[in-house]
Amino acid sequence: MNELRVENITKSFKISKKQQKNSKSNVDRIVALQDFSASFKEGEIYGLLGPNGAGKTTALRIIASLIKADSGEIYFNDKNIYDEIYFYRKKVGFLTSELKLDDFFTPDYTFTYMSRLYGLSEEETKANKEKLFNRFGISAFKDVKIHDLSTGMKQKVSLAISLCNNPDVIIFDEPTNGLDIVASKDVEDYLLDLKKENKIIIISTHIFSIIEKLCDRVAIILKGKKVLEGELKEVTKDKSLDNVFFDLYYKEQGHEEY
Amino acid sequence: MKNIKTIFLKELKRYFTEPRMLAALYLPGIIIFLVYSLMGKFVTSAFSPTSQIPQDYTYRIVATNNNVTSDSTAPLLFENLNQYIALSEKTNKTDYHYISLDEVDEYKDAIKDHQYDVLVVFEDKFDESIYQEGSEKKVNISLFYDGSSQNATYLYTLLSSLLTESYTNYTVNLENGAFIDANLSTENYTFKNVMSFVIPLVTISLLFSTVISICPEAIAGEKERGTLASLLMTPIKRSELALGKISALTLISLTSGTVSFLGLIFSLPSLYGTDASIGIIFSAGSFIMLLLLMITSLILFVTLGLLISTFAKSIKEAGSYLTPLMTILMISAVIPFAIDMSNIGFAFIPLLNIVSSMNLIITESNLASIVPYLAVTVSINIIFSGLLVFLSAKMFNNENIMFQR
Repeated sequence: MNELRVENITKSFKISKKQQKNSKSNVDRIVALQDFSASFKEGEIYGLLGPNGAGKTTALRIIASLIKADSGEIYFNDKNIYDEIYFYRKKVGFLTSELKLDDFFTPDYTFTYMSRLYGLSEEETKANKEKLFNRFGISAFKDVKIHDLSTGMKQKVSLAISLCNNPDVIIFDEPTNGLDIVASKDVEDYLLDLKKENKIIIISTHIFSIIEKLCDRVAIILKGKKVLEGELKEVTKDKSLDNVFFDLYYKEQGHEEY
Repeated sequence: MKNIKTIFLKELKRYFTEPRMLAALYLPGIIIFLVYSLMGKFVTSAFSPTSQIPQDYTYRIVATNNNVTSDSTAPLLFENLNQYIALSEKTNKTDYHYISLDEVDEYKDAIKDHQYDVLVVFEDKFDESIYQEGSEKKVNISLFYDGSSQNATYLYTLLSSLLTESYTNYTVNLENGAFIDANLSTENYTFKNVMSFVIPLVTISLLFSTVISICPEAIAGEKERGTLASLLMTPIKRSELALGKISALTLISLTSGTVSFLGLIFSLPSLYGTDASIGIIFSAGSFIMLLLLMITSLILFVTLGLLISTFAKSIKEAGSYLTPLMTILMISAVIPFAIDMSNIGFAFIPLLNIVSSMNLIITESNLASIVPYLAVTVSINIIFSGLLVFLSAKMFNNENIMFQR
């Protein structure tokens, strides 16, 4: 049984002189994430909720090993991920809804290329490709250059390629951002399918309905700090999720409860 | 290694199958050929034109008479020259003056004084040796002229080209195993000097323009599209990613550089305003030196371009860093024209040494004398390329450069 755990991760970024000048501040570093801890289990969707700039993407990038935390540790099945980083990266799929494809290649070539970098055999690649391309209706367009695909199809291709390694841990930053309603429904359904396949799924969003529809547990992040975490039902109790969020948000801002 | 190969093959596919990229890679070579051919047509007319040689001009040739008994049994070279002039120029004439081998030095001064156009020195017992069947020993013919004289330059190139039609087993301007300069001119402003200024300037500009076309796309393009993050998420070492890209772009640039080199070589006869074969204008040694210099310089340019592409956050930013570099290179291409850079100390200055080496290969007849200079330049190119690859790989591990800027 796979388990992922993060302990007290903190991350700050250096602010350039130009940014300091623009914000009229002398502070040369900004804390993007502070003392963030959480554990993620198989067959569960964990949601990070927060406004833009709260630190959600930073948290996901650190968990995905794309960037390193200043302090704190991440454990996959009780082993520090940086002890066996290439093994961990084989197990992780990091997705964003932003388009991240080279227009010049076809979906078929890009999928094969990425699968090779993940060290998958030709047979594994073929099987994964067939499964994902059929699931997202890409098969008919697999030999068309990405440049010539519709925006919706590009988004589906991007999603399929991000999952080419059949990852055990799926980290999805803003899963439906910029997607049309049909693609959004596809993604939501697919995340629920992956949950049934016992994957560890972590998503970030600022859309309450996504959390309510998909997540088993939720954490609210404000200004880099986790201010609330729990089972969705426990967190909301008799209130709606947006009420819970804005209570915390205005409290953080120093306003009266709304 | 497997990952480097995967990235290498993907990059090759990227560049070799896209028409825009192919144009950026191979057009410079074609442009070099066309521009130099045209330049030859127009520029040589200013320096050694047949059109500017007056009608009824008599070419004055002085030659050693160790192979002839009288004017009526002139050597084959002169028979061919007479035939050529009779057929193509009609009104012009030739006048031969024969001297002994002992008088050669004295007549070199006469060439400098413009009393004669070309001095032809046949090796002792030339006649016996050149027609001796089965002999492996090559017989030497030396030609001397004054490069500041248009008529002399034209006649020299004409005689050079006629040598191949006249003899087979010969060498040109070889003395004790070393090449000697045919141009006796003491004036600086000769055709070859002009070319030694123009060729490095245009060649380096075109080679660097290839780098500007392909390097920003390689890493900064991936950053801009957001595909770099996907690559960095894969279980490959970041140094593998850097090496895969660098090796592919170096190969791509090398093919581009080879086309540029061929464009340069095949345009030389036009550039020098002669029908002479390329081998007469440039020796095999010069070719090898130029090729070696161009290849190592290109690798240096590519690694420099990749370092900048890795540092920049967008294609536009990478381009804006590379353009001033090209300007610096173009300025450095002009420096050897004003300053004598033949001192080996200059070979240790990166980038500038490329221009000065190219300049020396074109102007220096005694190629053996510039081997150390070229060796230093090539070594500096390789050392700096290695250093730049190392820095690029380091940058791949710097998340501030890769993501946050």
